Amino acid sequence: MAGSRTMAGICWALVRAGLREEMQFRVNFVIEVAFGLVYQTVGFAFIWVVLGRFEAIGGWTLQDVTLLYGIQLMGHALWAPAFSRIINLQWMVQVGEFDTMLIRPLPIALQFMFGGFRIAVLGDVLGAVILLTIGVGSAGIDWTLPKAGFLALAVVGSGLVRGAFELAISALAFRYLATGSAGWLTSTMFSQFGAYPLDIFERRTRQLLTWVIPVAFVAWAPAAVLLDRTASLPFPAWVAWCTPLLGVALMTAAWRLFLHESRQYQSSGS
Amino acid sequence: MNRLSINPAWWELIRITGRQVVAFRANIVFSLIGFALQLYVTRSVWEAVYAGRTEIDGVSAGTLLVYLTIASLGNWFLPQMAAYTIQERVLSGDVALDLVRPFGFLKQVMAQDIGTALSFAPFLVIFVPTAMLVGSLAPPSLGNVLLYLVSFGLAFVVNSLIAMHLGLLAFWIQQVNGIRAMVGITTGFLSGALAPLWLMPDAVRFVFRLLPFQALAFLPASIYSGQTTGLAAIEPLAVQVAWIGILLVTVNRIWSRAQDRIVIHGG
Repeated sequence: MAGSRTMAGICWALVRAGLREEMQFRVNFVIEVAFGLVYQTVGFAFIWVVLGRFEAIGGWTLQDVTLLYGIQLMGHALWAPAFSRIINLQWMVQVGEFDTMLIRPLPIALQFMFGGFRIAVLGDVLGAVILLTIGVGSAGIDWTLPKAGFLALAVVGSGLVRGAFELAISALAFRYLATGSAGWLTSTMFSQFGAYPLDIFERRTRQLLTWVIPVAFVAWAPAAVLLDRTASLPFPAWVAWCTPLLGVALMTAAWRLFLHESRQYQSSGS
Repeated sequence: MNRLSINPAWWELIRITGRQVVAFRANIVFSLIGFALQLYVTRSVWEAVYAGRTEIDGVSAGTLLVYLTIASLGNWFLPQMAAYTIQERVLSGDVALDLVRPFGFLKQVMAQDIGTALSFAPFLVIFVPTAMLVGSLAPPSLGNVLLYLVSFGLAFVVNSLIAMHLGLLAFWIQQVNGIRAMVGITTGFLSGALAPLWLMPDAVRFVFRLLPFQALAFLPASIYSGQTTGLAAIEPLAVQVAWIGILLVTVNRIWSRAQDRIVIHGG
């Protein structure tokens, strides 16, 4: 295996190659960046329109929901640039493209992170920064040192929780080949429900989104901690404070599953 | 050769088509889940807004639910195909073949859009009950349903014309995937499928009234849910017809300019 300096050099070369590839169609590149921004903010536009007129849903004001939305978006933005390629794993396994990753002198994780580094997700990052900044500034958080530290860690944890699920489902492609639909469904669940305080949904939905697919920890629980609203959560406050740890635990488990499942890989020989 | 024997290509084609339908069905199941989830989320948000109130601006929660349900259902049956079709034909150079056909290119695209929509039609059997389960489809009268069907037909044409505009951009910028996706994602909001225009803040409503997207969901759904009824329905229908007129003029202009830019790659 190459030394760490050589590896860093290879990673940087991969990022540059990705950038050159994306700059082939310049107008499309700009539009893709804009798309990321629009995609991430259009969901918020709906919330803005509703709360701009009706002040609150389930006791959450526009400022509160902006904070919540910003947290889930930032978590996503941290995860997406480096790991957006993971959704292609199914295709890579099906056509035998994964072979090329096995023979390269770079750990598979780094190849995934930098081989498909997509600059176009800059739009997602931009949207996340804007909304989180507005949310943090306007939501009237009663700041303490632990809360400030928690915000930084919770954003990472949020990305890890969601990323772990996407990684775990992608890993199943080694065994089951076609996992696109399961991946799509998980991703949809996170993006559709992750942006709202879950207390607006029925109890059973809330339970599903807390204990089966932990959407609750992507933004609702961290925002509740920051806004001193943990009493409205269906679990004790300390569980919400543990969001970053949950993210690390889930990601570790998902990564182990990925390595375990990758041994099931059978090249298609094409 | 026995005159009664049937060309085996028939069976082959039927078999392949059958398999395509099976593959399509899997997609439809996920479309259905996506549709149900989105409607459920939208419904929950509005229920939280209504919490305790019987009506807002004279609109009951029940009427709003009918509006949201029919608007989502309609949106799901407006194909996003035209832009994609045109881009593919331009990039592959196949547009050259389309041009020599004795049937205008834009008409071909429109015909394909209609074909796509018709192939969706049988799936109404599962989409309508799902919509009724998650939302509500109880219209105030049969007249509203009939007027809605007319309005939806017009919405369909507006949708195809907007998609054609996007597709024709491929003559200038080759890749229109980004802009196509961007319009696709914003349409749900701009068309009023997530929030009716009457519940929007004044400034937002003013802007949305100036755009063609209201013709896709807001106007038809207002008719179905009874917010616009009887003779008053003439106004939204007229707005839709006007947009068709405007978009027809612009799309034909763009198309005539695009023809000067056609470059066919050899090979």
